[in-house]
Amino acid sequence: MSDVLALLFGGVLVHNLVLVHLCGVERVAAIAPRPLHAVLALGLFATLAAALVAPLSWTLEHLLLQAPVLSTLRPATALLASAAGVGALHGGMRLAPAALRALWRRQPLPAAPDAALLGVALLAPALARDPAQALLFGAACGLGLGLVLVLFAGLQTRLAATQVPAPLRGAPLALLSLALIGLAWAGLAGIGDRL
Amino acid sequence: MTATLLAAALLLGLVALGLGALARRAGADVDLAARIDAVLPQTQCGQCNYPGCRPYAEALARGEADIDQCPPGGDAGARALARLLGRVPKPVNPAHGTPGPRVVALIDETTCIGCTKCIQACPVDAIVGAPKLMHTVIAAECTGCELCLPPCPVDCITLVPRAADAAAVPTRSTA
Repeated sequence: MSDVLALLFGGVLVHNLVLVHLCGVERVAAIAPRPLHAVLALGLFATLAAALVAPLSWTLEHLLLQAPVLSTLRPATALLASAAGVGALHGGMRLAPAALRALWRRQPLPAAPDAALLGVALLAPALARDPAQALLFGAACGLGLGLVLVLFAGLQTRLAATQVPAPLRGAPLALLSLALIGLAWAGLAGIGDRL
Repeated sequence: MTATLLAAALLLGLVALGLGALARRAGADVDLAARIDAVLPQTQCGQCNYPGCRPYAEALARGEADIDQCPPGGDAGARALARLLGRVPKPVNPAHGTPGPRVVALIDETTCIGCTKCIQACPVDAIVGAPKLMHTVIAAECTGCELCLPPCPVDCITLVPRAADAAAVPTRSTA
């Protein structure tokens, strides 16, 4: 039970993809101020994608990369796993009910294997002990990404209504605010690391 | 391992539930509502029992409203809605009002007492005036929705047929 909690807590907060491992920063920084429900859908789809990628990557890692010399191939297998996970989600969405499919088609996010999913693919084999743990950890990582997306979309909505000095408008302010949130997040570092 | 799997299944189930709820919520196709709104006459008269044309369009997109609720659009408007939504065409339901020629409100300026009640009633801000000063209607903006008639305490507003050369009712219709 404590394992489950540690994995959840670790995936969502301690090993937060964006704020701790800096994976998917470009996606979060580029998010436009959007209504909460749109961003929530984005985060939940990302969770599904991450939950597919993580066990795939874990399995690939433990099937293929046991010899020390092969560990240089890790980026390649991680890329493969994230591409396969996204492909599987694409395929699955084709079978989904029409309403869900319409929601999926409106998402700009999970269309391609991106840095965030690559981060999941690299983290999961390192932190999970078996495929089930990888699955849980992947889902938690996706939720963490969703959390940051929601946080940041809300922040952007606030920022859109404020007067920002011209040189800071847009990407600079987005990166600065992400960096500050990331600094605050550093307070969570190391919690539950025995997992 | 079993506990972990169970927890993962539970978590993903919750995610799926959330997605389902969001999908139902967004079930009304936003683009469809916009396309319906473009066909509607934009009189904002409320005769369809919705506050304006856009809410009616959204209700139509959700499948909650029928296509026969827009008297200003007339039977031609109902046909356009039927085409857009792939439903069987039907005439406008008389319960919502009867389609008629385009009209425009006209304030009898000698009778107007300047109470501003019609200004508050106008959904498209087509009436100008100030308290205790005469009001008048901007004919080009007036949609002829009749909403200014009931509030007028001195009944100084009449509806006259829109002059043939006057600009058509402002509409975003492209269909």
